[in-house]
Amino acid sequence: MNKKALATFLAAVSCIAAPVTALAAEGSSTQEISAVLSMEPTYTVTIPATVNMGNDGTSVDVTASEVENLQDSQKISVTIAGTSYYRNQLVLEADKDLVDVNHARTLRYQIINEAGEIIETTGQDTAVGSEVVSFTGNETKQYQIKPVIVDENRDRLVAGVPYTGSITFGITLAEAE
Amino acid sequence: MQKQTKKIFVILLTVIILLAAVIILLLTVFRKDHGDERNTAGIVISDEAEEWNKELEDTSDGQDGIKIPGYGELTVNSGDTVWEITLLNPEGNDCYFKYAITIDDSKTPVYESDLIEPGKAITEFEVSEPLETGEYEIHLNISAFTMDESLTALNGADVKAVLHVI
Repeated sequence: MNKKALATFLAAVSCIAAPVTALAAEGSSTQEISAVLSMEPTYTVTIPATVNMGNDGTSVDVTASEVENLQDSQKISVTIAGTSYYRNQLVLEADKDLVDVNHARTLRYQIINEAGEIIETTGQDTAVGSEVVSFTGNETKQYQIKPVIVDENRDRLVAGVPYTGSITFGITLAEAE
Repeated sequence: MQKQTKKIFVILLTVIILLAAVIILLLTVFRKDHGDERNTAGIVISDEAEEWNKELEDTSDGQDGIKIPGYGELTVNSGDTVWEITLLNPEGNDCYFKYAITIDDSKTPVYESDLIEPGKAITEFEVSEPLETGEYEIHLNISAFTMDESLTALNGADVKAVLHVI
C-alpha cells in the first residue's frame, strides 16, 4: 500500500516539475550561428508630416541624413507610392458636413519635382512611381506643391474649409543616372 | 499506523495537486498580462518595441517632418519565422509608426506591428510564413499617425529594399 502511495506521490511531483522545466527552457540562452548582415537602417529620409499648402503653393523640404555605404552608382529615390484618395489621385478632400452640394468637396493638387517636372493626375492616370527628389548623400532638396485652382473651380471652392489628404512616399535605393 | 500514513499521503497529494493548479493559473494570468498594452483610447501600443539608443544626428534643422529609416540590403535565413530586422520610429518624431511588411507584389502583410512610439524599435518579429532561399523585394510600409486620440493619418512611406534569403 505504501509503495502505491509513493508512486502516486512521485507522479504528482513530476506534474509540477514539467512546467518548471518548460520555463527553464524558455529562459535559457541558446547559441546560434547566424549569417545575418547589417539589419539596421542605413539612411534616414525626413518627409513632410502633412500635405499643407497655401493658394499659391508651398516649397517643401525633404532631407536625407545618416547616409552610410551608398555606392557611387546609387541614389536614394523618393517617389509617390500612393495617396489617401481613390486610385491614388493627387486630390484633397473636405469634410462633407462643411461643404454643401453647390461647392467642391475635392481639390486637385500638383507636385513640381526638383527637376521642374509637373506631377499631377486627372482621373484615369496615376502619379505612382513618379520621382519627387533624389539624394546621393546627406542633403536637403525641395519640391513644390500647389493646388490646381482654375476658373472652372475657383468659385466652387470654399474658403476657410480644410481640404486634407496624405501621401505615401516610396523610398528606395536606385541606380543613379 | 498504516491507516494514518495513507491519510498523510492523501493530504500531501491534495496539497501538491492544488499547488500545481495555482502555478499553472498564475502562469496563464502572467502571460495574458504581458500581452498587448492598451491605453484608455483603445490604442494598441506595441509591447515588443524597446528603447533604441543608437546615436541619431539631427540634420533636419528642426523642420516639421517625419524621419523615415531606410534600408540597403537585408538578409534572413531560409525557413526562419523570426526575422531580426530593426523596425524603428526615430526619436524626435511626433507621431506613432505602424509597420506592415509585404514581400514582392503581395498585398498581404507577413507581419503587422502595433503602434510604435518615437525613440523605440522592434528588433525582431515573427512572420506568418518563412521564405525559401532566393532574392525578394521587401516593402516596409510605414503608416504614421498623430499622437492624440484622433490618430489622424499623416504622410507615410513605403520603404523598399532587397531581401536576401539564404
